[in-house]
Amino acid sequence: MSLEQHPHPMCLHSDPDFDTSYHTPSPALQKFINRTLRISITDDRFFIGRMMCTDRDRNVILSDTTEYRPPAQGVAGVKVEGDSVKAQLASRMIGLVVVPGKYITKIEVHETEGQDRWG
Amino acid sequence: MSTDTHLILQALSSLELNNEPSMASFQSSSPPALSDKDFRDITDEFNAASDKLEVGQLVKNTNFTLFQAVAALEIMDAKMDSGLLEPEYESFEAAKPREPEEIIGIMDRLLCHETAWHLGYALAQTLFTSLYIDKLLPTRPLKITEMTFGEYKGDDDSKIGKELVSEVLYPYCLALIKCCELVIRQIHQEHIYEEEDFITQTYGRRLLDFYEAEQISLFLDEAIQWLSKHEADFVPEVYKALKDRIWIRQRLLLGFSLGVNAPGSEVTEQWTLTQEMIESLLKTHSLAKPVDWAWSTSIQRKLASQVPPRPIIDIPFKDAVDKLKSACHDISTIPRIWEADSPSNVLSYFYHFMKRTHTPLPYVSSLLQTAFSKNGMILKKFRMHELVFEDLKDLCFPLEALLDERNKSAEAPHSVAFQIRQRMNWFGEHAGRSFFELFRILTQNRARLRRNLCHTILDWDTLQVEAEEVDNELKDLTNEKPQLSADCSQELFSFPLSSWVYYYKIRQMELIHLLGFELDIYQPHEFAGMYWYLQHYLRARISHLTRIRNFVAPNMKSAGQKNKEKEKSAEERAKRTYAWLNYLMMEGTVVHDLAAASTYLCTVMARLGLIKKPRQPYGTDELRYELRMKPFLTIGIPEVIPFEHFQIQVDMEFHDNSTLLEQARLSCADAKKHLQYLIKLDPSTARAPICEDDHKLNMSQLLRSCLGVGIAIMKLVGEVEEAGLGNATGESSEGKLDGVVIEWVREGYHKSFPVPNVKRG
Repeated sequence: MSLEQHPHPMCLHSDPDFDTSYHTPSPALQKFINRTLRISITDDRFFIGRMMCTDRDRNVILSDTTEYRPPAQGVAGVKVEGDSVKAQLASRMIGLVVVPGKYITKIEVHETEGQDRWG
Repeated sequence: MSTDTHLILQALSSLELNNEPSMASFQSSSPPALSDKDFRDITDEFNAASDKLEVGQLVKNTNFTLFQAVAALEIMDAKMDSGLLEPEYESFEAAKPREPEEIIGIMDRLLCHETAWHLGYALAQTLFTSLYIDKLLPTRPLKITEMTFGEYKGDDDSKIGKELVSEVLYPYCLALIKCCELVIRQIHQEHIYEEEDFITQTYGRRLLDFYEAEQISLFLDEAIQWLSKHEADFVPEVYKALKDRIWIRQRLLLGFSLGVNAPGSEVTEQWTLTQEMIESLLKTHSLAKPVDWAWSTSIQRKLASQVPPRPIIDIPFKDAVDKLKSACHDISTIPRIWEADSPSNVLSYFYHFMKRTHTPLPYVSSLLQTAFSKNGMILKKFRMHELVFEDLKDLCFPLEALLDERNKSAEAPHSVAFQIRQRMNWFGEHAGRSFFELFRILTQNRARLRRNLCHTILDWDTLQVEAEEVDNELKDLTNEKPQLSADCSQELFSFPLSSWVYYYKIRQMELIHLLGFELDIYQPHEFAGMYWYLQHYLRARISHLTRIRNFVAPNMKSAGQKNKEKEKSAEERAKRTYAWLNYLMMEGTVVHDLAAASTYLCTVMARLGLIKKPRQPYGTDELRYELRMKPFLTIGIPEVIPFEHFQIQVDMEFHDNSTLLEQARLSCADAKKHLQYLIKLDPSTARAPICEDDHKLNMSQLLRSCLGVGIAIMKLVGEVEEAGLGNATGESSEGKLDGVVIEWVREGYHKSFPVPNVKRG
């Protein structure tokens, strides 16, 4: 798959790789970098991962991401009773992903652990 | 374990190379237990902040690079996001009753997938996309009772249909899984290139390694019993088709579990029988019903969760059956190497093995490696050095004192026998390793073979230099009497050890060139030069063999001095060596002459513009020459000749076209004549009794190439005469032959000698 055919939402702009003198354009967003986010998207899946990068279009790159999704309808053994649904969620490790902004329905930040959880 | 440690461990495990990335999927223990309370909604805050960014501005972790970003999977992109796929495996009812024709369809497609896997595709693209197989391997079962198709709750109550699934398809799938496990186990034992030739990745699924093949085989026995009991319920053809499939699966299961670890006759019988049975599958395949619903790519989201989904590989049923049949045939012939009466016979077998038109499966190559050496024993009877000594005696007929059994008992460090033994031991050990390696790399795929040969010839070159020193010492220790060179100017000694090494070194250098043609590495405009080099090495082979031959008679005489009986045995052995050397020289001559004809022909075709050099603005002939000769640059003899010299030899600038074409015609005719003689020889003279078919095919392909090149020469002679270019030399004939084109044909010809089809176009 060539890159020209599938421009990656994060590759649009040529930010140099080596920028020791990096100055954030947005302190408001910078404070979420390296934090654990939970991002929900249009098809009922959500992703929990550590935020690495974002841009104006709200494309978000998460690392060490886990995907969660509700099981298919009508599958035996699934009971939908309020909070207990979560226990039935199917999850899998999907690593480094980019979630395009146009599919994002909700962004949440993990609060209690604080920033240095991964440090 | 705290959540933190758990997460870190998880992150680490996904970093490890070759780790099964899927282990995390769908296990209750894997996801971090984060509850809703811990999260604060920041959607609005986030939106507002990102709206303030300019186009092109990035907010990022300072250590995060664009390069890393490229590796990220894009969510909601169908090509990358396997999470988008409909999770068909969740709603699949494996235990649902099925029609017998559907069962046949499932089994046949499973067989196709099994074969595709053998051919080098991942399980995630083949067998593991089967919803039935998936059902049996959801997590890491440790007991067979945990591997089930589950329960069926629908309203289809066909008893036969239900039992067909549970009594026939179920054991079939278990046996298939076990087959995979046995294959992986075998392949891990030997040297097969992972990913390149074969993928052993099982995505964390355990494939019944905790059960013996015999136990699984019992399930198949029960399946056959069930079928027999219900014979009346099926159409006869369907009944037979089902039974055959179970039987063949049982055969394969036992075959894979046996491999080549049994006496030769048993191995041959097992695999010959399997081969015969597989044939029957084709006759009943028409009964199979399509069963597309039993497969799904979506399983990949559980298997390899960190890579984009990849398509299911389906190969035609007939191809799968043919592949399996040739595999069975290949395996059934492997035990022959244990019966061969000399290492040279075995080497011929290896030499032809990977050249076979159907390219043996990686599994089969791996079995050949096992059959060749296991537990430190080679061919079940030799140690490494013994293999070398056997071949040394056969090829070089060294002085008897060198390998005298009595040397072994010599203990006084100053005795000659002890000194000889010490040197021979050194040689046996060093040459043994290289010789052993040569056999092993001949079982690799052709591209790897060439690459590996380019490395190993360096070792052989060093070995040759060292062996020469040892030879020098041995000649003094044995008081060898020198032979006079043809012009009586020099005293020559036999130098058997370095002679042996040199012979194998040249053969490998020849092979590198032959493979260059076979693998399409050389482009047509380089053919003339590369065929010239092939000749160069073949000439070296022939003259070296002549030297070896000159010492057979004197060494024989010295061996037979003591008594009549010894004399007789020495004569017998010498005869054998003579026959072998003569054969090798003659075969070398044939290939040499064919290469010579090709050189002349290609040179003329290049002059006339029939072979065009592609425009290479940054390349020159000299640079390319350097590149091609790189593996040989450090080799002592035969040494690489300077480019200018090479160019003169190949271009033959001052000879006119007619002369060159006449030379080509003569060389080609010689090659043909000698080849026809060689073909008539007994395969044992060619040291090919255990690979007669391969040897004959090789010979007939060479002959076809000879004839093809001959025709091309005749046609070109006609065209050149007609255009009045016969007397033209290099420069003056440049590109002047209009209206004629050539096309290279490989099909049916020798792989290293494609034939130009000269035609008006």
